[in-house]
Amino acid sequence: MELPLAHASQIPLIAYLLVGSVLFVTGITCMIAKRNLIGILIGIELILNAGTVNLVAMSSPFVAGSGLPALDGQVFALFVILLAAAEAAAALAIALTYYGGYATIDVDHGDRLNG
Amino acid sequence: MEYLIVLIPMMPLAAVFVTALLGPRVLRSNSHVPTVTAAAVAFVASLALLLMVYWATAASEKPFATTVQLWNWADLRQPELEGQVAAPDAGPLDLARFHVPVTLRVDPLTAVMQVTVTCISLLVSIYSIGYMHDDPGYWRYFTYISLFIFSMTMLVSVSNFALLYVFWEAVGLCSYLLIGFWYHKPEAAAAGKKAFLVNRVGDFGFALGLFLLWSSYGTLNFHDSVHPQTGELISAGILGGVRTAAGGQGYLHGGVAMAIALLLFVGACGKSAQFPLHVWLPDAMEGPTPVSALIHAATMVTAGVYMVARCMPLFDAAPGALLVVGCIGGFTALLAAFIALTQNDLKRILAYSTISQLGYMFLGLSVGGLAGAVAGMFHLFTHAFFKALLFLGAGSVMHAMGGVIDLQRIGGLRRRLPWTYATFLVGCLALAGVFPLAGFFSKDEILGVLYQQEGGGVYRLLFYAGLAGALMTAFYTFRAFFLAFHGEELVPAEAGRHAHESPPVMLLPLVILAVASLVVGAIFGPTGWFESFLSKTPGLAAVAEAGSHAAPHAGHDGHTWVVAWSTVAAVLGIALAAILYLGPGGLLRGVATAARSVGVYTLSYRKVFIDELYALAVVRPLRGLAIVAAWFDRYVIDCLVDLVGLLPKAIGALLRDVQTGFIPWYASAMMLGLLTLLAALVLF
Amino acid sequence: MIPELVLGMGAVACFCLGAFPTVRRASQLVAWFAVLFAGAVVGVQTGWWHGHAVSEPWYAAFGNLFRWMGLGLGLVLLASMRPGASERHEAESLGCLLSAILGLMLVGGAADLITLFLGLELISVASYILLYLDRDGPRPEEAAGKYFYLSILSSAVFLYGLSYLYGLGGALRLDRLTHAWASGAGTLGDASLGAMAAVLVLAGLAFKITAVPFHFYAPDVYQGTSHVNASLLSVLPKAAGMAAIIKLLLGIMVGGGLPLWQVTLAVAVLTVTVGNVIALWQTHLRRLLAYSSIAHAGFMLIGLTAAMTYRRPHQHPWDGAGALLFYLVAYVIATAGAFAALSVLRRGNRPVERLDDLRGLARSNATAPRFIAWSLAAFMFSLAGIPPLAGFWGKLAVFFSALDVGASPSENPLRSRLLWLAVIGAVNAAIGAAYYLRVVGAMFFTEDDAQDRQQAAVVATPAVVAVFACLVLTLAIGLSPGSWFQAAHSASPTAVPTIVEVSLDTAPATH
Repeated sequence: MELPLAHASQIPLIAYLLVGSVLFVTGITCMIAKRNLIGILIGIELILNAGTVNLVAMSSPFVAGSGLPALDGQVFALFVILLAAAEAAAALAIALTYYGGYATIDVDHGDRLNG
Repeated sequence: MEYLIVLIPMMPLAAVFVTALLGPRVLRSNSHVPTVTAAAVAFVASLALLLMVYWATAASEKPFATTVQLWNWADLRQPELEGQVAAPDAGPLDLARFHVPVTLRVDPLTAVMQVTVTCISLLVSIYSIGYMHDDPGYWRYFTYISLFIFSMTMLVSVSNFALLYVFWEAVGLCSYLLIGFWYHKPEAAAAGKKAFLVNRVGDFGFALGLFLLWSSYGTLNFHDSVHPQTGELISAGILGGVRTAAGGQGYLHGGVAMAIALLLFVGACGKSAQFPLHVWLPDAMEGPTPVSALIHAATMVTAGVYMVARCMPLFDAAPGALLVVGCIGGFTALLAAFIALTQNDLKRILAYSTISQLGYMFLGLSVGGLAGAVAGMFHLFTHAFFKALLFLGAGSVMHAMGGVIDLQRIGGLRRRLPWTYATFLVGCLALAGVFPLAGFFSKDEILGVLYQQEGGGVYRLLFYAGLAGALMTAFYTFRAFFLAFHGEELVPAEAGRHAHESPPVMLLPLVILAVASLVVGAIFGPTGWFESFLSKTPGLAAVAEAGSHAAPHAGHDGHTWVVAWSTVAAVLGIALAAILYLGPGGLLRGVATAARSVGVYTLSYRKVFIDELYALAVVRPLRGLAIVAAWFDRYVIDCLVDLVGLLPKAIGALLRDVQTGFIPWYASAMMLGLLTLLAALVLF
Repeated sequence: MIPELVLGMGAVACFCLGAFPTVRRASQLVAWFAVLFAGAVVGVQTGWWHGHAVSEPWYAAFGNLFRWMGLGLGLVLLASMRPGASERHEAESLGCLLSAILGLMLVGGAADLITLFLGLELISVASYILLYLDRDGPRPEEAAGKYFYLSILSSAVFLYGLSYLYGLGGALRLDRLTHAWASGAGTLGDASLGAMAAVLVLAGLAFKITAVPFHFYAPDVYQGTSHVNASLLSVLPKAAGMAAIIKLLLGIMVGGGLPLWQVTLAVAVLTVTVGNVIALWQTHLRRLLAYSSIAHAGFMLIGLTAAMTYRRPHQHPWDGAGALLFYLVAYVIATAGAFAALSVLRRGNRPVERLDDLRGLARSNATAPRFIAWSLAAFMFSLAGIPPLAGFWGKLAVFFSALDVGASPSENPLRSRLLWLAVIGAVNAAIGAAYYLRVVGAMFFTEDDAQDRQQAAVVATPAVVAVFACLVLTLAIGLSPGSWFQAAHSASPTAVPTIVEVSLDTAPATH
């Protein structure tokens, strides 16, 4: 099925996809550049949201030219949000133990396992 | 016949389980009983098998083979294809028919190998009762030996390349276990590992050869599968007689055939210790001496020769590959003989001698056709007896000398070890190729076929190489012999009060092997039995029929010439050794004793008294060269082979540094990888 | 769905029991019961003993294969979890383990993207928590942190890829996606969008299967955690990742006409080589097994690459996907067995972690350590691909699948590349034997020379039973691989299940 990327009257799908890709790249950059575990967590949320934006936009009847009649992508997006919440909980717990082991949440210190 | 071929490997297999389960608790010092019993039964069974095959082949002119399918190991055939006849235009990649039936075959080649293997196994396991008697790992030793006998008997009787590979690995594993048997010696553990790893290089070539065979012929079976009811051909085996006899597809020629043959030969080089993969065999002498006799002299190392003989049709289709086989074999024979000239460790001399003799076998095989296969196999057959004899003799010396085998520390043992002395002398004469012992006939056969071969100057060169090798063989053999048994009596301190003759249980195999070394050559060689028997093997019959090497073997011209030269080479080598190592005074004594022990002829004083100056002029440079060759082998070839092993490790060391442990670094590497993949997919 | 429901309820029950200290010991019982009961249900559904299957129609052979695998692995992992090691969190650990198995089963049977993604994440989240709860490893906090951050990064990348896959194909259902991509969805518009979806999905899954360059976490994390967790990480995500790769890349995106096989070929060569050569240097057992698991992922990718080049896979008995599945089965049995064997050994109060700790194990006076030594040797030989063990047939199948294409009579450039792929695989198989041999050598050919250390001893009997089961399977597959080949072969085409639409009443379906 063709993915029509532009439409005349409404905000076209391509705009949503662009937002998604900006979020994606920002998130990746954030994950790599940040040394702080919480900062990295924020990067992760950004990447997950990039996917969510795409999913919602592609299945939305209100986005011009998305052309997909079903709402299944939006259901998927709900699951992803749920998952992001679960993972944030795990992330914070892990950050706490990390702090317990290294007295910092700077990931640069976690290089005792290598080779 | 079908029962016998199954019985032969199953007996040692049963012995493995019995010894492994009952050995440590119940059998203890009787752990040899299952192994010896199994080997004895297997030997009797293989003798019976040999006779039955002989009667079957004597009755008709046609090649003889029969197969027993035990079970279908891996079957990938679609159910609807079962029993269906192959479409004539089905390409070589008839992959839907892949199956690995566990099929044992009975044909003359297998029968000969079975008898050789089980005979040596039986004698060596009897000998081991005495040799290993107070070893703490007594039951473990016999478990491994049984496992080896099982694997080796399977190796020579399976009818499928995949299974051949399986047992090829299995004998390698047994060899690894037995070389490292005294693992508390660091050298033994290292030698075991080295043997295994060098063999992996060979096995790798072998595996690639199998891949290529599979993709070019679409089957890995030796035999043709025939529909049980209708008798129609379902799928042609690679070495089944049908290909050429019934005008089937025939063998591939050209580059593919060459590649197949060479890859298989790489496998043979690893197992049969040919240059440059021979470096593991001298080190393998760290294992118990009976193991060296059984595995590293008589049986396992000859698996490569057996394989090439078995695959002779494939090699015959690629004359270039045969030439390579000859060159490698000839070079190895010379190189190893050279190195053996100056070694001081009796077992190492014998190890290099084994490498050299295996080179001879490949020289014989390189002639191709039936003649080549017969020459190589005949030398394999005789060599098994006299080399096992020599190793067991060396073991007997070791046993008496408290484990010392350095020729500089022992000497003049002929009075203390009279039986060992006499049998060792027989072995030496056989190895040197003195008429009428076993080695004379088989070596003569190899030189004969090389001399006959019309493949151009290369074969003539190989002939001379063989002749030079024979000279050196005689020299180093008798050098070792004289140093160990003649001259001043020299007994090392380690011997203690042990320095006496070995117990009867060790002497009996020595005597039997000595008798065999005396007679097997004369019985099977000149009478032509061996050749006519082997010519009934389906694959060999096919190459004989194909007639690309049409030279009739019997009654070739110039044979007397070859015989004369090889005898001269042997006698000259012995004489040189006598001059050098017995000295002018000792020379007479030594030669006279030797001559009297053989009881064939007496030598006059003057004829053997060769000018000492001449000896020095020739022999000293030769020794220098030998030392250089040994150095070259130890430090260059060995290092090169090691280097091949180290290369992956070196790459690993470089790549390891990437594994820094930093999370951000890992994340960026992953993203970089993602971008690279994306670029690759979009741009290309 | 009954087995999945049983497992899910078991997991919930375990988590709930964990809240009540008086009854939390019962969680062990609940977990065993859930796995065994689910196994019995699968057995009935596949017609294990009475011959004909009563499985739900939407559950194909592929899903059942992964159900068996998940439940079998569940039993092995349950048996190797040492009671008392993390007493405080036992119930939670068991609940996580059950969820992880459930995840694998869901991925195997998934017919749409949501189930697939959630199945994968179920495994991931469960393993984050397991790593977090772990107190047995040397550096649990670093291992947990590393795994979490890198894994979630890959999951997010995977999700982003899935969103494009969904958008281009216009459906979440895998069978519709297959159809859409086969009719050109992946290449229409801008071809790079399809490529992007494929690469993002591949990158996300490559992390799960530890393919280079997404493998970095594995050695560090395995080393930092306990044997049981390392075992879980080396089998469950790998199996699930392979299932997802077969479904998404092979089942759907190959139809889009992208030259995906080139990408997987490159990844396969890199993975198998990097894993093997670095493994040569390792002395820490879990680290060594981590590199070994990386190398095995490479071998499996060889099968995948071969499978991607088929036009009509059914004509190929050495069907690459089937070879991959067979290899996977042989791999998980040997790896889970090896980790289970390591987990039962202790020296004093310390787990056995380094090669030196294994010294002289085969000559121990007691029977149990000797049995463990022999089993471990069998697993190592199976992983090294020495006949007649299961791993040998796995390697053979994978190489032959590549040769099958490589030797086919056509002048495609693909042909020679696949030939070389098989050759590189064979070289690596030879290299790999070296480090497996070191493990065997340590047990069999060295003396336990350290006087100050305690003898290696076997604790935890259930795990010994698990080791025995793995050993029997390794041998059985090796000795009679035919039916296993057939199973893998018949499972591979059903990776993308066709959904049978049933209407609940007489009214026509409103689709």
